[in-house]
Amino acid sequence: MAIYEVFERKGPTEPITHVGSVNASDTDLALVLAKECFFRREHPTDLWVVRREDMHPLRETDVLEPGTDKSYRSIEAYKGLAKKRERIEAELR
Amino acid sequence: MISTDDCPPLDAATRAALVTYLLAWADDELVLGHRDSEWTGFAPQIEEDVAFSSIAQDELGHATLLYRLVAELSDDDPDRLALRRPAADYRHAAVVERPNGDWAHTIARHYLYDLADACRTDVLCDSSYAALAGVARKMVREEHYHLMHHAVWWERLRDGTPESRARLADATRALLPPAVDLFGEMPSERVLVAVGIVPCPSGALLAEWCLHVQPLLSALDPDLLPLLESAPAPRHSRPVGQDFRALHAEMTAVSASGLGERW
Repeated sequence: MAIYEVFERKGPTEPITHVGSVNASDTDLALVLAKECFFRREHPTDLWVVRREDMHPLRETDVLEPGTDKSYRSIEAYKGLAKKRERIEAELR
Repeated sequence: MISTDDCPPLDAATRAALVTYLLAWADDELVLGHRDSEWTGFAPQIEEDVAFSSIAQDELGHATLLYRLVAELSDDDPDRLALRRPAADYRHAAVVERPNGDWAHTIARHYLYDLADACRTDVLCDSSYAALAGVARKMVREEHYHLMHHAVWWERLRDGTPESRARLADATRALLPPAVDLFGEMPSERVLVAVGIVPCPSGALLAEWCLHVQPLLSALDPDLLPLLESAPAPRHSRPVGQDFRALHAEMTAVSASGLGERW
């Protein structure tokens, strides 16, 4: 038995989304089980299963942590630009 | 959904024949669906529990479509037809009332039944009676998934271990004769075949079913093949057995208690 991750897509232009996982002996059984376990009421256009073992994790997860202040890259840093501009303009006048 | 009101009226004899034919089919679906539901909470794994319970609901859904059609044709109530008839009035084939047995027996019975049902629904999609053709077309899509499900399990039991293979072969040996009886001629069938309401007699459906079942038997145990040659018993009423008496009592208990109206 292996764990299979289940993915769906609600329409041809929609993103692929993870919906859960099933235990199964092989791919065909995983597909049959996933269909009823996750789509008894919803009807996506596509359904995939992937063995969890076949997903490649990034081992060095510490590279995911920010080393320095990256707040300037976030949208937060650009909040209230109009007001900031007004203030600067007033100062320069 | 096409109502019987949208169809040309049927004469009394044809109408009665159609009611008899549809009721036997509805009873097949209801009784098998009820047997399926007995696995809820006990299936081999949790994912299968969900899947099989959902298949049970699908079968009850198909029974509902058929009971509604019968009710329209006979001015009756679908709930009464499904749950308030005496046990002796049900017309399902004996194969669907058998106790579930082990998982191999459950899968073998359901696969053989759904292959038969697929033959039946496929031809009825072309029924000259539009309300019946509409019901058949609604069922076809779900039956496709059921067949996929059973095929996957059948192959895994066949190729899994010597024990799973032996259990599947034993179950199939016991089930083939009563499964052949699914194609027993209905008492009223000829009237319906004559006017194209049922486009194909049961005998011809049996031949079609055998074409699908033969390769399964060849790959499992060729000694099973001669069992396909038995002649189906006609679908007349038969005495109520112990198994169905118990199943009927459980299936109708809530409705009979009077609580059903308030659920």
